[in-house]
This record gives sequence, C-alpha cells and structure tokens, in this order.
Amino acid sequence: MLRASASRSVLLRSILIKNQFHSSARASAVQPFLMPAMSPTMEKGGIVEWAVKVGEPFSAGDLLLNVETDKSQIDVEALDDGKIVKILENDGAKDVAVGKTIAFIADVNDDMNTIVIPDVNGTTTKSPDTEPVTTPKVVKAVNGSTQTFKSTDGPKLKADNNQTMYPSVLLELEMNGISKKEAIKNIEPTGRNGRILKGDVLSYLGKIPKDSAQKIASYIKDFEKLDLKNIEIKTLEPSEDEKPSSTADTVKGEQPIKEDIILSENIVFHVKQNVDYEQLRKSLRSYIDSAYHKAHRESSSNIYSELYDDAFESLLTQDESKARFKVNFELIKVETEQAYAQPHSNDIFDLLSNNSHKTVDLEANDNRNTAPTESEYLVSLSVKLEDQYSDALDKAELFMSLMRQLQF
Amino acid sequence: MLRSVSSKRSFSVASRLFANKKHEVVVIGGGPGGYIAAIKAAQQGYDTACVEKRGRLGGTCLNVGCIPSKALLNNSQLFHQMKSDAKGRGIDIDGTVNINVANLQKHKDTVVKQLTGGIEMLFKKHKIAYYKGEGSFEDTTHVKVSPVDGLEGSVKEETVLETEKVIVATGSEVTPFPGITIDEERIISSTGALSLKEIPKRFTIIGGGIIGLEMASVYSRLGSEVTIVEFQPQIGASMDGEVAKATQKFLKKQGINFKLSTKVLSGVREGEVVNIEVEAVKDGKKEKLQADALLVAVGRRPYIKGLNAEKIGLEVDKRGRLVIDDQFNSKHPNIKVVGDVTFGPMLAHKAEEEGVAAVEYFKTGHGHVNYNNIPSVMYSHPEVAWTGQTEEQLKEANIKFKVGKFPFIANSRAKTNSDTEGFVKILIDEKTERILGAHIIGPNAGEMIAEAGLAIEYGASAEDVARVCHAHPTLSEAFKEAAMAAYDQPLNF
Repeated sequence: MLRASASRSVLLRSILIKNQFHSSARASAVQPFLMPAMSPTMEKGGIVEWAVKVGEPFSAGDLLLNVETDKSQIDVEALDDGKIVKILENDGAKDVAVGKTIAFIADVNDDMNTIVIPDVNGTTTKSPDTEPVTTPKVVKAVNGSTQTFKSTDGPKLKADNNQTMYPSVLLELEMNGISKKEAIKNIEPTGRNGRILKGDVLSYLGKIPKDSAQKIASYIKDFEKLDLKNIEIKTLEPSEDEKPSSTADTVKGEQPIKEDIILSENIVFHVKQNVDYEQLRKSLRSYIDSAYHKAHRESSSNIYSELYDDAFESLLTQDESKARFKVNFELIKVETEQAYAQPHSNDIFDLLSNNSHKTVDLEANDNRNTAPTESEYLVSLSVKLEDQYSDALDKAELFMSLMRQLQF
Repeated sequence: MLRSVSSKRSFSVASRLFANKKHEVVVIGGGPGGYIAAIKAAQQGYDTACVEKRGRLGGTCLNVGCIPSKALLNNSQLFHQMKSDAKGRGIDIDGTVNINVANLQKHKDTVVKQLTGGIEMLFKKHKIAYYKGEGSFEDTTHVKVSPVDGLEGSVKEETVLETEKVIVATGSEVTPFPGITIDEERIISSTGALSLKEIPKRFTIIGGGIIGLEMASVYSRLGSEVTIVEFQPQIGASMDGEVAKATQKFLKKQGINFKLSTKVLSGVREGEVVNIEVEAVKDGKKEKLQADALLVAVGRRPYIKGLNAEKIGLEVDKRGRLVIDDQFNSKHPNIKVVGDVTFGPMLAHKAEEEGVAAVEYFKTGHGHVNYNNIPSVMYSHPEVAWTGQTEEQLKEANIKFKVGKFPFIANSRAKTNSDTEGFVKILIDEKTERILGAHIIGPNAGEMIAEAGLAIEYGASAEDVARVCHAHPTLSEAFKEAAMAAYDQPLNF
C-alpha cells in the first residue's frame, strides 16, 4: 500500500474525479483521469511510466503513474480505490497539456466488458472548469531543482536518491527488512532536501500515527521564516541632519602603555676615505630601508605552498602591512689614523699614537684623494619591536642579519 | 557651521548631475551583516562597494559588542578563577592576584583592532571598494557617501555611487531608557560598560537580558556589588524558562542581586553617585537604590539615521524596523535589507546569514536562513546557549514533546575540570522523536550548541545524535547523553 507523495492538487483532483464519478449516472460509470498539474505554473508534462495496467484494480494510496515536469519527476497516487479502464497517453508521452484526459478510470467492481468509454474530446473541454480552485502555494524557487520544495506545501517529493541515511533510519529499516531502495521509493520524506527522517520511517511502518511526521514538520516550518505578518507601518519623518550617533559608539582607543622591546647592535664597516659623511649616511639609509622592506616581505614571499593564502596568513599574523619594528640608527665615524672630520687638527688620539703624518697640510689632503685608504664607521642600530605581532622578532632578526652583510 | 552646511548643499546639487563611481552592489554598513554581504557579493562576481561611517569595520559586534565583551568576560573569569579557585586546584600564588583595569582594556582594544584590521584585509583580498563615510540614498540606484568630520580616512568630498543593487545593513543602536540620560560615565550604555576605567563599587543594571547579565558577570567578578533590575518576572529574555531559573540561581550564588518584576522610575546622577528609584510591579512598593554606576541595557533599536530612507520611500514598522518581504526585499526590489535594522533577533550571526542569503537571492533567486535554528549564547559562567524551540513555545502550541536532561555533574570531563554547574536539556517530538530544541547551561555551552544546530538543521531525531560517537572524556558527551535521555535512557546517570 502506498501512501506518500500525492500532492495537494492531485488529492483534490482525485476527490473531484470521485465526486463526478458518484454523481454522474451509473450508466457511464467511467471517469476521465486528467493530466494533473504538479505545480501551479505547470502547463504540460510528460508521462514517464504508468504503474498500473489496464484492468488492474488499485487502492487508495497506490502509485498510479509517474509524471515528468521540467523540474522533476513526481509520483501521482490514487486517493480512492478504482480501476484503470483505458490509458490514452502511454509511457513516454511528452508535452501532455495539463487537464487533458490521459486515462479513464472506473469503480473497482465495474465489469470491464460493460463499461462504455465516453468521447474523449467531450470530456477534455470540461476540464478547465473542474480545475481545483485551491492550488498549492507558488514556490519561489525558479531555476533550482525541486529539492528545495518543502514537503508540506509544494508537490510532495520523492526521497532523495543519494542521501546518506541517518543512523536511526538505517537501523529501523534494517530491523524491518526494508531495503534502502524500497525506502527511497516508498517513504515520504519530511526532512530538508528529501531526507528521510526517523519519524518518516516510523509513520511508514505504522508505529506512530501516519500524520505525525507531517504535523511536526509543518509546525517547525512556521518558525523557519521570519514572522512578517501584521506589520504596522509607521511613516518616516524626514530626519534632521543629526550627527551620526555611531561615533559615540566608537571605542575611544586609549594609547596603550607599551613596554618597548629594543634590539640594538653596532656594526662596524669600512669605506673609502673620500666618501662624504652625508653621502654615506644617505646610502646607508637607503640600505636600511631596503633591508627593512625585505625583512617585512620575507615571510610571505618565501612560501611556495599552494595552500598559502594571503588573507588567511594575514589573519594569523595580523596586518601584514603594518610595521613590525622601527629602526633608528646613528652613523658615527670611528676616528682612526685618519681623522676625516677634523683634518686640520690633531686630536688626543693622534697625540697618543704619535701619528705625526696627520699634521695638516694640503699635501696630506691630496694624498688621501689620490691614494685612498679606508676609514672606519660605526652604525649603531636600534630596532624597536612592535611586540603585538608575533612575528616581529623574527622579522627584526632577519633585518639584523641583512644589516650585518652591509658593505660599501 | 553655516558655511559647511551650505557647501554641502552645493555639492549635492552637483552630484545629482553625475555619479562619481559605479558599482554593481553597494552595501551600506560594514557590520557583520554588511561586511559578510560585501564579501559574498564579491565572491559571486559583483563589483562591490561597502560604505561605513564608524571608521572601523565589524559594526557594533566587533567594536562595541560581542567581541570586546567577550574579551572582558574571558579575562575577568580567569582572574576570578585564579583568585578563588587556584588554591583548591593545587596552584599556590605568592602575593596577590590583582586586576589592572588599564591593561584589561588594552588587551580588549588590541583584540578589537586586530579583528577589524582583518576585515579590511579581506576587503582587499576580494577587491571590495571601501568608502569611509556616511551612506545615504539619493534615489534607488544612487548612494551618496558623505565625509564624516573627524573620521580618519573619511572620503574627502561627497561621492555618489551609482549601483544596480543595494544591501542595507545599518544595524542598531542602544535603546535609551525614557527619562534617564546616558553620560557614559556614571550612567552608561553597554558601550560605556565595555570601557570603564575603574571598577564601580556598586553597579546597578537596568535589564536582565543577555547584555545586562554578561556585564553583571564581568563586574561582579571584578569586585562590584551588582544589582539587576528587570521588569519581567524572569531574566534571560527568550530563554527556556527552566534554564532561565537555573541561570538566575547560579548567578545569584556568584553574588549578583536580582530585583525582578521591578520597574525603574528614575535614575539621576548626583555628583559621583546615581540615585535610582524603583517600584515593584505587583504591589507598587517603592524603593531607592544608590549606585556608583548605572548600566542601561534595555535592548537595542534599528538604526537608520542619515540613511535618507524616507527619500526613496522605504517603510518602517512601529518599532523602527525597515520593512522587508521574505527575500529581504524592501519596497524596491533592487534594495535588500539585512540584520538588526530589520526583523528578527538582533544577533551578529543572524545578520551574517542574511547577508549571504540576500546576495544569493540577487544572484540566483534562492537563499536560505532558518530562523528556527538561530542559536543564542550568553557568555556568563556557566554559559547558556540554546537553539530551536523552548518548552514554553511547545506548550503554547500544544505540541506533545519529550524532554531529555543530563547534568554536567555526571559528565566526567566537567567533573575533572571541577566545573559541573548546569545541564543539557533536549526537547523532542513525542512521536517522531525529532529534535525540536536544545538548551544548554554549563561549561562550553556556546560551543556545544553547534551540534544541536546541525542536528536541528538536518531534522535529526534524538537517536541520531545518540548514535554518533562522541569523544571521551569531553563535555559533548553530556549532549549525547541528554539525547539518549530524551528517547531512551542515559547511560551515565
């Protein structure tokens, strides 16, 4: 016995057919079975397969045929007992207009031999008037599959063929010797996307009242949507130019008191003596800048994993663009033999080291220019870490190592 | 002042003639609803812009709501545990454990800054144009972005964005209490409560909803003497009744005082104290309270200031919510509205879901938000979390149901952690055993509720949860046992 998915329109139609059947004269105890509308927008459809043969009796809930719309295949089931007298549109028929007579049915007890089949055309013309007035709600889904239809207010669905069965469902099926295939064919699902729920199986097995699953599903469904009923509209007064109050909401970020972490290092290097201090300072600055940028870039540009994702990394490391450290430097000339800064005087160093050749004269200056020796400089680096970034230290150390390679 | 007004006028005249920028989707508001919608729109291939006037993305949630409050809740709980709990756990602390309010706030600010910065990164990644300024409607396809005084990075001049589609996600603001002036010093809103510079000795809170209770937890742990005044006979807003009672019991044990069914008549600051007058709803008995700080936490209301919604005829209901249909459409089908500014619970995650759905409706005509399954979490200790239906709702609808409960005292992990307050309560349909609601009060409830969400979304029965292997020893076993209790019997209780 089949229960399950007769859509409301089909149910209504079946009732209608029955009414006609009973009220019309016994002599023509045959009723036309019209192509059902499986959705309010359906105009025509195909017949996939008749599940009953001519002359075969069927009872309420039996699958009569499978109808194909542009969206899906839907089972059409009988609400009452009966018998197929004649099939007009056979398996595979396409583009059958809704309301067209596709078969004739009769009462179960009617003798097939005495049944008079009425004129087909005569009955089809009547059909538009016999359309059920109530149609199911329009499902707004347009280009999706019927999977999004809710079981309680659109055409009833077949269970999803590819579903992973729930543990409760599997167990219940197994204990009752129902195959998965059978279950999908016969059990009306109330779960989202055609999923069979435990309640559906219990209903199917008759362990709980038949309508239990439907009832609770439709109760839940009411809560799944926003309650937009009875909205009392208030007219909006044109607002004055108010100051945006959200600025009041804004957190006034207090300047956090930081305990600074500072790395410092002195690097000594040699340059040719004829290099001007300011010039040297300038090129040192540009070296520091490039080391600084390299240190900041390094971590991301060195990762070749295809799983590397800039945004993900930046969430982990926060603000990739933000400085991880600040550099201060001082460039000091180390006064060795050749005191460049004060070429015209001997200082204490000279005196102590007895460097007499440094006594100033033009000749000495010329000497330095033509036969350059090197002078020694000291860079005193101080790197202040922005320690809210976990990678600040790494980057600062990388910077330091780049600085150690400093050469002119 | 006059001068700036007149110059604005002339700008807007000019801007009507041409649009400066063109986008396919403009999102107004960069909170959880807006920024998520913007990212989703960009991912769907729309040329997307987001307009935000706060100066930081993330909206109320990130800047003055969920996130900062959780920073305070977590750290105050840690402090409280160290102070009161450490010894019993075998941790001796030499010297005293003290709270440093400045650093507590600093930690909070750092977290907020990092998270808001993270969203900006996401915008860059998805090539979303981010306009800092106030967004307002010129007409249904033009959004004007105006500079905001004193806002860093604000647009320099009025910019008109021409767009096909608009998503309004302007959020909500604190509902003021009639007759009480918030100065954010002694009389504060939730915003002020998140950045207090000192711990008030006596702290009174109007409103026993989630915000009120969370702030009560924070300050009670930090040493305030907290009193909550609530008009309703029950705390916790839409909480399941039984859970609300349990919550109140636990919070009371922590030293928080409750005055339920009590109406606030007035609250006036006098010098450094606030004098509050309350009245019992039942017998009209009046009482005077005094506090060093008064928190007004009576809810939030939709925020559309400066949006110019009336200009294009957008409708609001009597509570100020922008009116939508079931696909988030305003009166104009190219303008959708999501989040706090429209219907439904004012929750960040609900706004996010809607932001995604709204974009999907634009793109495909389909979207999905299940309003029956939007979890609520209160981050007190023990935490409270729930989703689906409450017992009260089911009774009112005459739905026959079964209840499965499991106390954390019987859960091995909770016991090990010496954190056993609370229980899991699962409501299922009597016949089909489908899970209808889950209510958890206890450790880690906010994380555990995700399992309930998944179960409800998939229409699972209690048995389906019970037959899923849960790791041992974990708190989540309590959820499994409660499911068992609902349709059969628990094993460990």
